[in-house]
Amino acid sequence: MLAEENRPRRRRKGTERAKAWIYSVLNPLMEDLRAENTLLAKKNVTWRYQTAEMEFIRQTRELISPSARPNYDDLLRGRPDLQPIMRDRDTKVETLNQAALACWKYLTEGAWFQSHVQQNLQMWTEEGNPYPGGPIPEDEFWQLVAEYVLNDTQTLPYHYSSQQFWSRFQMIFFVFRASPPFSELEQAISALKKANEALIGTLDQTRSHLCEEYDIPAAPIS
Amino acid sequence: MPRIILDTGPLLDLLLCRFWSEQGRPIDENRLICRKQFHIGPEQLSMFLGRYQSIIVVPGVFVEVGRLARDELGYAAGQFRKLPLALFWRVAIRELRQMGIEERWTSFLSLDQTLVEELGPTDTALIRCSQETGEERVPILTHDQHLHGKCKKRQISCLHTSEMRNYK
Repeated sequence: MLAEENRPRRRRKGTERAKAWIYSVLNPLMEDLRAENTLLAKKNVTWRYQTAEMEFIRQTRELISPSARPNYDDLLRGRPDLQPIMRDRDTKVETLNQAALACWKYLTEGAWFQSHVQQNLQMWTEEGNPYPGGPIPEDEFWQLVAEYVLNDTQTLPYHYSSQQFWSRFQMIFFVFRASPPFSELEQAISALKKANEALIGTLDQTRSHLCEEYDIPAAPIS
Repeated sequence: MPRIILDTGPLLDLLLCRFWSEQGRPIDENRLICRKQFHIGPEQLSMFLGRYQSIIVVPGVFVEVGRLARDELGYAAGQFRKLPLALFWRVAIRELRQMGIEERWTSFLSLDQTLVEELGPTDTALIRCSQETGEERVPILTHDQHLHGKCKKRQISCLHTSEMRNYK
């Protein structure tokens, strides 16, 4: 008869399910939330003028790759204690989305921001500088500038065609961030950042418990 | 204002770097060829390109970038986290627009056959592209030592990435 330690170990029931939760949901989600907080620390809400929405700050379920969403849904069924904190974070994403949309409307619905950009653009080109928008049509350029303002873009990569224009005029455009919609945006950013930190902590604990309980590694080792 | 023609290597490095940075993800510079092989950081590459008003790219470069990005992101992502290439292209297209990329098309069958056999269609198209700029002699920026050598032999203006260190 085999000694206890030499017997083939039988996997505990639920091990594969726990692995699916950890590897396809918890780990990617924590990674995404950390990346999101890096952006939020810079007040970058990843707003895009073409879509008028945030590109990389999404509802929790949307952060999970489509093929892993059944595992996400299963996690919330299997661990209903995670639902409130996920919901809380998603509410804060929606609040941020609404705040960003209000800022976008503030910048784009009145004619003054657009005319402000046009004036500076005219000054720029009259000085003999090339059009800074590259292939972006001239009638869209002011919206790109509004996107930079909304994302609190401090510097642009040197190889962008708008880099020199932006580094010269950004302080003039940033004056628009002193308006009330932008203070609400800053509050929403701060609230989401805190909610993300809390969620990362909870997910990390959940992962630790699952690893202990099912004796599985926190990340796949092969 | 000067222009430059970009080969696959430098463009891929720039796009990968922007792809991670746009998402708030840490940039592992050691995954970038410019850093790994030539000790040139992406910031330095960006600054160098900032000296040029226009960046010219030939279509073959986009094809090569797509293939290499798939390999790079698939590998980096690991078994359970395959980042979709769709996201890479979404970010890349926006970046290319903001870089003010100038696309140059050359008919494949009009390329120098001997060069195609030796260098492949993309590098041959880059050489043709530089030749077509006439007296402007727009240089090609490449990580590829072989292409650099061929260009020098044929008196085609070409910069190897390692030469960027000489520019302040």
